[in-house]
Amino acid sequence: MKWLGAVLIGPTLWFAIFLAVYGLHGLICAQWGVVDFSGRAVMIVVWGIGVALFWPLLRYMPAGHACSIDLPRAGLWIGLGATVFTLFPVLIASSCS
Amino acid sequence: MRCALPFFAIVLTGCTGPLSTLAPAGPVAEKIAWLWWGMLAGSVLLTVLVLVLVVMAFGPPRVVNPRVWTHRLGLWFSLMVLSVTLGAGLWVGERILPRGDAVEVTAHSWQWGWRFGHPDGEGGWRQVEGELHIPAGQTIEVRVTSADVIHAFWVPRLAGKIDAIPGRENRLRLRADAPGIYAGRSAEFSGTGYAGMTFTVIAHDPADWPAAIAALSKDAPDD
Repeated sequence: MKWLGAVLIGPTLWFAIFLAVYGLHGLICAQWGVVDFSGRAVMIVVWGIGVALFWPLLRYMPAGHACSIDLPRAGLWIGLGATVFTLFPVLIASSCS
Repeated sequence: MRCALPFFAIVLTGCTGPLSTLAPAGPVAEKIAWLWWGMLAGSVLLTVLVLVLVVMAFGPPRVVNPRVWTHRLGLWFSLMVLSVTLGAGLWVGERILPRGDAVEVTAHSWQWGWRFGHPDGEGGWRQVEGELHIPAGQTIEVRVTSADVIHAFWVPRLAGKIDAIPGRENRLRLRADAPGIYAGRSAEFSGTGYAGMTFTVIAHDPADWPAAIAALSKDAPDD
């Protein structure tokens, strides 16, 4: 069970950051109708904190060559890649609609 | 190969016609068509990679270099294709947003029809059902609304599509390079009368446009 949790921690972290950044985008658009400099800065800071959270996890997650040991680290790399890749558009696009 | 040629000939006939995104007649539609071809090229590259892997799975076991097939092709090549298409999508998306000056018109939808409002130059609006009159060579901003359920305004040869949502006004930019008649329709299924929810965009020579608008009815306010 602990191992399964370790495997899922990367995708779960991505999921949480995805919710936070897209939720912020929706709130900013609903409230002000446009993502201005300060709104974008808040989104980038939240995204940056999320990306930074991967660093200690990658540093302290056990590494090895066996599949069962490697999967949690692979999950973290997948989560990190997904966080960078899937949230990049909403951080730079200027559209609210 | 002899069988493949008629097949591709039939498929390619879908690239033209009054409702074809691949026969653009304005700069906005051109950018969207360009993106479509780019995405097709990307998907072809990824499909070829997958098909090669499928073919390799048959036959006797073989030794492959995981660094080449897993890392370089499976991961980095796929990511590169996706990154390029994502970047192209963002580039196009930013350039078709409603910014700057434009001639404003309205498009009001309901089950099952469209009514278009045109500025008459005297502070009023001229309304007509099923026809949108625009000047060729000028950027048009269409303010899209709905009276009942979600519809979608779509003139494939002139622009992308945008939803008409009850209680909300969405904006879409389009432009026709030359005078002509362009087909449009709702791109969102909305019930039994959906098939007839079509309209026409008539692009006039800019010199003739005021007279065309003056000939339209003044009444029939939006619902």
